[in-house]
Amino acid sequence: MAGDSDYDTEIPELIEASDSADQSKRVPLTILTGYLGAGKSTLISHILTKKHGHRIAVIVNEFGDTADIERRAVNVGDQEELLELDNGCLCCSIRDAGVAAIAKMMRRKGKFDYIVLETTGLADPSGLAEMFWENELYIPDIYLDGVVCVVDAKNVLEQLDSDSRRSANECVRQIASADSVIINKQDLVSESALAEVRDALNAINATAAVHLTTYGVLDLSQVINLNAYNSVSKEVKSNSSGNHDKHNHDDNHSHSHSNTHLFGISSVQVPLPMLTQEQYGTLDKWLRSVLWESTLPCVSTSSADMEILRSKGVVSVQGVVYILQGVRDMYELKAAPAEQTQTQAQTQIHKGKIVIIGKNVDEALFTSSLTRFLGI
Amino acid sequence: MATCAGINCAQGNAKMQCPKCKDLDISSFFCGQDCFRKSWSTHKSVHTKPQAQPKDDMNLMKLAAALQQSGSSGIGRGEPMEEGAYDPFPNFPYSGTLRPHYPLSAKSKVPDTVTLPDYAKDGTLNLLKATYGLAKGLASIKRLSSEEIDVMRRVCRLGRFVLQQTAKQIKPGVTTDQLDKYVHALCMANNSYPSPLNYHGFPKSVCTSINEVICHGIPDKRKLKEGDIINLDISLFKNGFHTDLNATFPVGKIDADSQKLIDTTRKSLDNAIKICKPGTPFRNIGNEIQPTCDAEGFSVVKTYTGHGVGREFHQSPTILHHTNMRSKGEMKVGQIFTIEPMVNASKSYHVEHWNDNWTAVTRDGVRSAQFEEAILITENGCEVLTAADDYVPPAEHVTIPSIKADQDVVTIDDI
Repeated sequence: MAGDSDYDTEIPELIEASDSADQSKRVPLTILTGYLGAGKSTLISHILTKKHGHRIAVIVNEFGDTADIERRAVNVGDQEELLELDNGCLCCSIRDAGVAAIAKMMRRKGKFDYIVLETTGLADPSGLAEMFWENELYIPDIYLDGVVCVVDAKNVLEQLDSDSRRSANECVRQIASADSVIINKQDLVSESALAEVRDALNAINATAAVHLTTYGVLDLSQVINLNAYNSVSKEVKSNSSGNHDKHNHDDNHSHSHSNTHLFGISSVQVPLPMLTQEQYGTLDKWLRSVLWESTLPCVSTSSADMEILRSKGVVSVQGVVYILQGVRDMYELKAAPAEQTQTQAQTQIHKGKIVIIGKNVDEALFTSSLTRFLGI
Repeated sequence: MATCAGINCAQGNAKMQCPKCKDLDISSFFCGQDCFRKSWSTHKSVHTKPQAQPKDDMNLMKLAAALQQSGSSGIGRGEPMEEGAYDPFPNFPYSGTLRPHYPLSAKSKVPDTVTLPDYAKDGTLNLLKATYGLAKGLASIKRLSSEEIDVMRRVCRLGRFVLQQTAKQIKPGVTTDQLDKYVHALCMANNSYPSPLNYHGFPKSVCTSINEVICHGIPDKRKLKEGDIINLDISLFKNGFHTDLNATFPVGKIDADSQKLIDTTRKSLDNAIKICKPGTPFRNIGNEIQPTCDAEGFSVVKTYTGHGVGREFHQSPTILHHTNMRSKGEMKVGQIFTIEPMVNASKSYHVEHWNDNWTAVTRDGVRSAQFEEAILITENGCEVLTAADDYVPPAEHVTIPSIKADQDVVTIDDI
């Protein structure tokens, strides 16, 4: 029998029991996505090796298509491989596991400050995002912080183009599902090429924050602590104050238009006035119809091919600000956190906006459907 | 306040914590350094990785049995073990007083004449099938034809029969293993497969959840005691369909608090059944259950949910019992799903698992109760397919089957 280490033989001093506040602290989880070769691995090795003072668990996993994941095991047994790094970070792979296994690993290895989950380059992250967002409801230890997509400035347009010729268009879906897009290898392209990339990203996903980087070296705040499912991004907000976004479109009209058409996936934005309590209920009904039943009310066009990947929004109901968050057919409307309401009040924004990112979504149709349904 | 985890110490006011445990996020508290020192040689093993399954290690089993007999094992206040039984995880930081009573009896046999569900042989599930839930598209929620509903209704009536017959066997001195053998025999007599058996490897034919066990308790050698509460969760598979229902029962005379917990849990389920009809969003279910339980100072477990039931044991939709807005979809005619609130007798909804990877217990060791029915959405409202014959529907649009639970069934001798 192996002998005990000194640490184990020595009886430690008891410490004052702390309140359970520590235990109930929830750990944010970021889904890191990006096409093969875009620079995800460089970013991960940066997280695992640099002294950044955070205890981050990086889960590299072939989660693959969400259909193959045992979403929430009834049996909490698991298999994992762990690698503990010098900077306190942890790299592990958990096979066929899901949230329950990650939560169990946390109980064994102590809590992390953040969890970064790498997906395979060929995955549509929206299914994974929905799974984690849903799992918050039963496993309170972990919450979905957001989806980060790394793209390669040099090749992304080519990938999008090749995507559009195939039915499985992972690259465009990754961008569409992202809350933060990192354009890597920006040094390898000209300014005009970079503008074209930005334009394409904006056409697909008008609400993601965009960051530029070289060699995947970036500020960690662009990957962790996004709070993307719990707040209104400044991209949604800034656009709701005026027509700033439309202005951009005009500048690059030809690009935007052709890109939207080309990629199949685009963002639609429907502005809203301040709503009455009754209209707020009607908006909820509209969302149920669009997101749950895939039916656009009050318009005759068939929406059979419509597929929604992400919905966001901010709504002012008699001065109280509500936020909309959604992934695929799951959504939530809730009162904005207090500090956000204050910001809203300060900037005197009483107008709202709904943003829907998806396949075969048409801005004119959505606008007409929602305004007629609300009677505005 | 926590109970002291020291050996043979039952101090209820343990305010100190082992630093190593804190690092590992293990919940164990001590009344003081003296008690901690005395318990250290036993306690420190809590810090190491969970032990292998006991069936894999005979030495460990013997050691555990020996420790048990000497009375020196166990953390916190465990109930005394039954004669001839032992706790396979003597150093596990149990949250309450209940302990597993091993060894488990041999696996029950199923004759060839009984049709097996797909997982019965190897205990693993087709993962595509296993991923029920909200994260699957709403289109995956099955709507049954009237022929399928007729079959399902029969299976649900049989489920109710098995539950009510087994409930009659509950009395002090009966072991949960005896109840399991009884359920198994009753299923065999009616040519049906007990769905829990080998589901993800579950070793028994019924889940028996006593006192602080929230759900998925494994039948073992522990005898029921006067004052216990026990949940019997019956699921069986026949003619291609599964049924699933459960109820919590008193063992002999129980205290008023336990009775209130049971009554509140049942009431919360009935409140939820009351709103089931076409067009009701699934998310409204939690709005009925949680406030009912919160009002009594109880809490609704979030970790385990209701689910669609039919050709699969568990399928979409996932039914959450707590207040939330993210549950998606509306009830539609022909859908069948369970509502099965688990309610803890404190404000803590948190769940811990024993080392058997099944038994779910309350984190603070308080009691937990549960009731479950399978609900069919009908044109005019809903039908409680698994209802007891004397069930009083909570609303006009709620109906129960006209077939009695004991109609055309085979019964067996009492325990």
